[in-house]
Amino acid sequence: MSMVTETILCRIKPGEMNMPKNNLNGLHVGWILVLLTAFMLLRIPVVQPVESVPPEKALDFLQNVIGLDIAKYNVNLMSYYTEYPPELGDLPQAWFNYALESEESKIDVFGQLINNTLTALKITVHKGGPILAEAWPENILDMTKIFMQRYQSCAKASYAQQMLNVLDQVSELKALNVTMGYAKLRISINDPFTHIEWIYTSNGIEFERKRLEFIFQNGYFRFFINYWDVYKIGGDDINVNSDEAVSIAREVLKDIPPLYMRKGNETVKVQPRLGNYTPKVKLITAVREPLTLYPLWHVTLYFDQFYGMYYGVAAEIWADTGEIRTTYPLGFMGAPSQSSNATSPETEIPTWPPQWPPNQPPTETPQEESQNSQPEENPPNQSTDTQPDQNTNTNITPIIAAAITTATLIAAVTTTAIYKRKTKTNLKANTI
Amino acid sequence: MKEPITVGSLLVLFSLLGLQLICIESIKAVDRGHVVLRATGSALQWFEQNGWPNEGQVSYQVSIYVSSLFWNSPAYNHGYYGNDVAVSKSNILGLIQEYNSYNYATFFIYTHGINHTLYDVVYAYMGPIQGWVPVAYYPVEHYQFWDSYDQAVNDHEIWPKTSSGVNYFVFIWACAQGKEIGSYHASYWLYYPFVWYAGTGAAGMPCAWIRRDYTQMSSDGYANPDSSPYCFIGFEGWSKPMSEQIDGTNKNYGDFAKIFYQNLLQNGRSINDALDAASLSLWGVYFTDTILYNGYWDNVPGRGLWFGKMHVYGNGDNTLPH
Repeated sequence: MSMVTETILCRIKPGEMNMPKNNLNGLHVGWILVLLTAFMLLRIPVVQPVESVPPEKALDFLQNVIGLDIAKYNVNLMSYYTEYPPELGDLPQAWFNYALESEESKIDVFGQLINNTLTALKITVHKGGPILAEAWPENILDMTKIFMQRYQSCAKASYAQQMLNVLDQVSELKALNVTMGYAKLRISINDPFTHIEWIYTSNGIEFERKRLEFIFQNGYFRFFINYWDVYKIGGDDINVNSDEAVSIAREVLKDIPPLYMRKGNETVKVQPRLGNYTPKVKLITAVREPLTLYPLWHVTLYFDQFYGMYYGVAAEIWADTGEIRTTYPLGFMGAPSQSSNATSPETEIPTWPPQWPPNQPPTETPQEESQNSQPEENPPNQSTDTQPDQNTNTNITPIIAAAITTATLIAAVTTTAIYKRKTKTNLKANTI
Repeated sequence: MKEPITVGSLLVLFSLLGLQLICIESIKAVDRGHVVLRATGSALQWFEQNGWPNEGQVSYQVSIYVSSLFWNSPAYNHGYYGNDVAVSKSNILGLIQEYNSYNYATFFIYTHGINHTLYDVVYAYMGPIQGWVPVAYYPVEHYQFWDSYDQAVNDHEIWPKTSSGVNYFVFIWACAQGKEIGSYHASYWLYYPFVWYAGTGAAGMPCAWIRRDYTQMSSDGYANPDSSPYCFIGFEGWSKPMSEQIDGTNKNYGDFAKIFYQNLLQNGRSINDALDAASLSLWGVYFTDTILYNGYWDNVPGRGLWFGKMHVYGNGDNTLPH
């Protein structure tokens, strides 16, 4: 638009600006209208407030740790926004998307920063392969070692040395667990992914959230996570053992609230009871204060039978204090007790007698099915409520278009009228 | 001397207006629709309120939230929200039929569902006395979800309503709907005019909705997306209730759905990035490390071990219009 405007303005010579004041004012109004309308027509996007700290750390990581040759790419920051979730103690959590494009390679980068620290980064290769400053080692273990060495130096991560020490113990890529100090190295292979992760371990407890992880897909780097700096350890004391945790859970769940179920038009109240099934107990860790982890018992107790969609209840108990964190029912979105709802095979045999022509299997290009071309049912009524639910979305584009058109016409008419008036005035002046 | 100024400005103005009209015309030519359905039949129960989560309330909040995201998206000019009203089978099939006429359709359905077995049958003509006799049965696994009146909506009933292949993204939060992509079991003459193979139609919800079979869609659209414009997300086995808490957090699976759709529609992320964003927010891991992707087992009373898993079929690198 600036070029267009410049062209028009250049055609106004200085001398031509000396015109009667009333005409000048009129032309100003006309010009303002024209420019405003043109501005609207061109749909210049509204400039959003931009964060002062762009997620360039992601690019640094890609270049200095992963070894991507960023200079070969045309880099565009596609999205970046920050939120302040209470579970992170209102620290800034930013999400970003980069598009890296060159003639032979196209990569999307998606990631997360917490408190301006790069905590997650994922690359998705859409075209070609990543353009590297130097080739990656073929062995994933060697690749991880190089990445970690570079990360240690770039991020000044002192804990990385301990992680490297554990990794040095491993000579073969296979599923394993090795613990050294606070770092537990876990390698798992879940085709097509290979996970190499270090989990903070203390007093035999794995604090899963406090981790650093590289994930490779088909031998190539794909994901990075580092929450090692984000989470603190609040405590690793286990003052309640698993049996005590189950007892606490049973005690708390003596009074399970009644469950309401619909049977036809009636609502039925039932009282779920715990059964004698062996409870499932696992030790996990969870946040008690923001970003601070504590050990937690997760106990599953099973009902004596299905109650509608529910089969049991979970209780979570802090392992250091024995306090209940939460209880909640466990269920599913099917209905084994109502399997009769499914039409029985005996009553639903295929169409008979044979139809001709027979139906066709699915194809790349969907085919029309003449026998089903008519709607069998009427579409649902669309209410006229103003609430979003039950409403059909209104397309406001035509309204905007109408407004723009009106504004344009007003601008055009005004400008023309002013021009005519000016011409008349000039003619009069010439006559006199 | 002033005439060229006005004429020039008018020319520019009308040129831009022309461009704008072309632009508007191109927008009008694309019909994009979204449907958010929450079918809560008798399979939905709720505990008395004493701090326990209520599945009805949580699922309602999720569907309202997803509806509002669609509602606020300028990319769609058709929408249907069945959040707090009963939706019947005929409503659902009618909507599928209606949206089949658009250029783009996406569905988010929360309900209950199961799989069950039907049979493809081979009939043989045994002469004028015996006539047509079934000579062989082949079991075929089919899938159904329920409307608010517990009527089953079957995969083979959906197939005839999706002939245009415009359901580009379908997410069904219910048991069993994503167990397999499936295929179309056609009816045809095995040996004309004596042996007839009577197929049961579309077997598999992805096949019924997307009109592609297991040879045409990636079985893991998260790890190995195909290049198609289609994606289907559903559960194999039992799906999690939305009100169920995620271990060790104060969030539930409904939050997963909310964050997922927020990233799809508000932030314009791809389906896979939205899955990752939701997983990072809730578990602090990528989707590849979640129990949704890797599956979950539990020893269900009287039924033994049950398995559940969320499947992403097709191309998870797709984005939704937003």
